[in-house]
Amino acid sequence: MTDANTGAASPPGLDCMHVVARLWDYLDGRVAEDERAQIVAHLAWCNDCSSHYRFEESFLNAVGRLRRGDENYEALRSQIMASLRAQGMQKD
Amino acid sequence: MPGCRENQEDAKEFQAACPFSSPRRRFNAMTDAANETAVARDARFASEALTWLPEVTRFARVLAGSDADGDDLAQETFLRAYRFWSSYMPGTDCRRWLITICRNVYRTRVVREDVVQGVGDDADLETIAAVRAHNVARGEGIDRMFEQMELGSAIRDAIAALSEPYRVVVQLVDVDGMSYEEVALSLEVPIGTVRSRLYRARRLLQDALIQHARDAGFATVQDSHKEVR
Repeated sequence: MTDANTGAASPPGLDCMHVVARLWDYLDGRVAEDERAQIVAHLAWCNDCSSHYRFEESFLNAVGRLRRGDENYEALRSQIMASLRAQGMQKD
Repeated sequence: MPGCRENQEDAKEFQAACPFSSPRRRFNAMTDAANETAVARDARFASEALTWLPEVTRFARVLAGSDADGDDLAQETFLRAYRFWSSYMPGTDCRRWLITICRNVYRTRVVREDVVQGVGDDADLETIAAVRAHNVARGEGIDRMFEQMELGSAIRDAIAALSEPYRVVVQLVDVDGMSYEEVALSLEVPIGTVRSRLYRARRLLQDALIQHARDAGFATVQDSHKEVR
């Protein structure tokens, strides 16, 4: 098998469909070391799969950015504390 | 007393939810809790449980499908956690314990079981479908949208539009950074189910966000029939 873009020979091991099917497992760190090494080698060789990888990685980064801590929970915290005090909580 | 039976059932529920509860450890923990002063107990609750308020609230909002309902759910979660604080094992994962309570409160309210068993369980196919979505995005010139567009509110809306099992796992794993194992324990489902729901959720989110980019006028070229390679 050769890379359609460069004509370079494929590294031994995984084909594109396998790599594509395992991209999220790879991004989530859920592949074994030997498979991980093969995916790394494939991504370094295959422009298409590398492009898919970057797309999925940027997608997960975008979703992960929702984790920012700038939401203000003080009003809710005060409300919960008032309810807890009503139940007998003695310290906040 | 009707409330008494309800409390007993609640107590059983939280004992069952406690992930590290051997009878011996439970006995020791309950003995320690019994010897703890009320002020010390409340201080420990504040430092160990209330510190997770943002995480629990985010989870509750996603679970409930709206901020208002989620805040109400979070409040009920902490009230129950306080009431059953003696069943929490010090040193275990308090966030997971709270999320389990939150989920149980929600299930008690909604009284429904998961409706997606057996649907979309082939995670590998979901990943391949997502790659096809990338091909579509590339064909329309929006494949770098996650880097070039501010999509925060669109992603939030897309997560909120997912059905509960999907929005919960994507929130816990991809937003809050929990491991598959933690989520599986919190939701009491196999790890494989977490994986398949997560991958389906991701694929559905990508479809929604690609449509969002189109609606926002970012798509330029219609070429959506390239094959995966």
